[in-house]
Amino acid sequence: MDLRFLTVAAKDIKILLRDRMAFAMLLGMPIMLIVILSFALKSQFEAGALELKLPTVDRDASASSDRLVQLLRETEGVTVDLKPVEAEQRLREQVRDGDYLAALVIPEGFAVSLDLPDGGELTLLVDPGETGSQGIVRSVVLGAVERLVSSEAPDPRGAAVSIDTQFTGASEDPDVYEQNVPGYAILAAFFMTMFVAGSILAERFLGTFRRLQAMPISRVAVFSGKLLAGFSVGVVQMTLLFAFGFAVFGLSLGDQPLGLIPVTIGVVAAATGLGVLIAGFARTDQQATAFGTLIVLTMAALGGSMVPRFIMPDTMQTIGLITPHAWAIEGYHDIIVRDQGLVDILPTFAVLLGFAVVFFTVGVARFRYQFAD
Amino acid sequence: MTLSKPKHVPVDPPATQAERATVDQRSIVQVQDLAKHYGPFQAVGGVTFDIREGEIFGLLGPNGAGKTTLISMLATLLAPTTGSASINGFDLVRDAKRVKECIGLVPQEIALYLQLSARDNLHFFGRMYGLRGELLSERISEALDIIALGPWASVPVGGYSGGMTRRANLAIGLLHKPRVLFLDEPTVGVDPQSRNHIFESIRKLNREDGVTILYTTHYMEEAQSLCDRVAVMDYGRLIALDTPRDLINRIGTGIIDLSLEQDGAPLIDRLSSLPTVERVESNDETLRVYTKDAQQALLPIMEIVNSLGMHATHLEILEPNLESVFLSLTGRSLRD
Repeated sequence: MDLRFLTVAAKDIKILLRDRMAFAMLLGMPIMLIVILSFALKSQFEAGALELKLPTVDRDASASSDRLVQLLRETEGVTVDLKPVEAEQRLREQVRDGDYLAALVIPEGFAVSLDLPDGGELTLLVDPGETGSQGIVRSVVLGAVERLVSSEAPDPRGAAVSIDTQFTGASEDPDVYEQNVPGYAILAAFFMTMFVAGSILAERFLGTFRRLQAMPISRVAVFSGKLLAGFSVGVVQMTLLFAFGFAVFGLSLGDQPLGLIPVTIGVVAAATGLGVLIAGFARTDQQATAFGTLIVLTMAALGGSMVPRFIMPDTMQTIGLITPHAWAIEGYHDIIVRDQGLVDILPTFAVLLGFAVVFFTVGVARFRYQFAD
Repeated sequence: MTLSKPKHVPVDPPATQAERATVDQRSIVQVQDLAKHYGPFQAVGGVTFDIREGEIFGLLGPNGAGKTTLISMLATLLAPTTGSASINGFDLVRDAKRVKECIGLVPQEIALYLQLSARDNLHFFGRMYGLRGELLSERISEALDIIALGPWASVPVGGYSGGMTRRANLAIGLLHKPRVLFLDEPTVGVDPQSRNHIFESIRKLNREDGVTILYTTHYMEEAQSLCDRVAVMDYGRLIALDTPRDLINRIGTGIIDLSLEQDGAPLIDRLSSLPTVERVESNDETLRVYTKDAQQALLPIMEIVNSLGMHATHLEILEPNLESVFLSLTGRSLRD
């Protein structure tokens, strides 16, 4: 095997590292978009937190539990809908499906437990897709409990109440960070297509392809090196952006974070393939930038990178599936929102590789090594 | 302008060159009826020649003559439409990889990565030639010595002057010490100082390392001063091949350009009848007179002009050189 493709890749990465504008585009731009748009849209994604509907099952049916429900109802912005005991299972499903942000279960013996040294326990059912709102709901419940304990127990030390937070399973919809971090990371990965296309076209314009062609190295090795450079940069870029989301916004990486690897490989492969496709059609670097920007932004808009697909009309959601972005975002949400794993993600991985193969094949078929060949 | 039909001087038949080669040096490049067509357009039309080992062989012709297409075929970049060629005994088409191993190409364009320094470019292309480790480091140092970039070797090429960039462009072709080096117009857009430096580098390579060089140019001074033999190309064909001296002696003519106040047409027949005049071209008030000896022809020409009551406003004598060889062969200037 001709390992000189590694030298080609190293050279391309070295050239990219010297291009500060490219760096700003590949990392600075998505970080800026994630931060600004996450803060701007946070209230839209968490609209339920300000008008909290808190369905409650009261298994204790005691004066204390009645008082707790009353105190919750007195909390500003909170509406308590008391549900019958037999509706608890249905309530868990509704929380899981995103119908409610959270629900409260007051267990049997709650009033008695207030007098015990270990105190009582409440169960809070939470949608795992709304991790950003979880703390607010806990604060609301704890506030009501404190008021209850201080009014009923002569010795507050013996009246501690803990909250058992139970996640109800997968939520269908992501929160603002789960939407924006993958969304804009994918958008940025596809902006890398301009780097791939520009790098290929530059070789042709500079005449370095011609020079390489007169050397004892195959075109396959040269192309492989260039693709490897784009692919490596893309993988590093995606990794850094997810690490940023994790470190700064506490982005969940799901129960099986290894599942992120095939999705990332698929996304970056599709983006690299799109770079070859653009290089195959563009005649100049300027054309590559113009085509690239148009294609990348259109795909991002349709595919849900900028606007979540779950708020789009059904028709738009279906149209979005013609983009690798839609598949990639769904893939990431399967891992980080729905706690799926490696095996579950394989069909999405296959679709993304399919995009990569189609883009690459059409691009190579169109590409002319030299203008005057 | 009235142009007389170009004179085509027969190129030395390959047999004659082969005979010389066996006496002096072996032929390292052999080209037989090599042609490249793009549809009906004939970029190179069936050229035959060979280049001896250790020779600096010039390919002289105006822009568009087919020089770059010919060099591209010899460097395995373009497949010939017809004909064949071999370099160092390897066939261009069948043994392309072996050919690539023994040639170096310095293309006309600056084929360098502008964000990288000359040293980084040399390292990259050296690796592409399969060089590595200490050998690669040695070759990079040697190449940098030849092109004398000095402290600029570690600065990105994008910051170089035109001449420095050309020198760096040249260095890439030397890295693997090729048997045959193709230099395609290596001095285009270069200042005189850098041009001289490039000439010196080429001579040194040829003299000390025995590198055979195929040098294309449309500057006749370069071909005349640098090359052992020169092939003159026009419209895709070789129209002459010999040493610069022999070409000038055989074909070169003294040319007198004469500008008149009046239409020069009445002078053509009288001047053409002079024994020292070969032919006359007329373009309204300007006459171009091709002579066997310009100094000798000047006086009779002026006598005829005066006798017809005409007045010369400008007179210029071109001594025989490769420019006048080309003019004589094609009726056009190398820079047309």
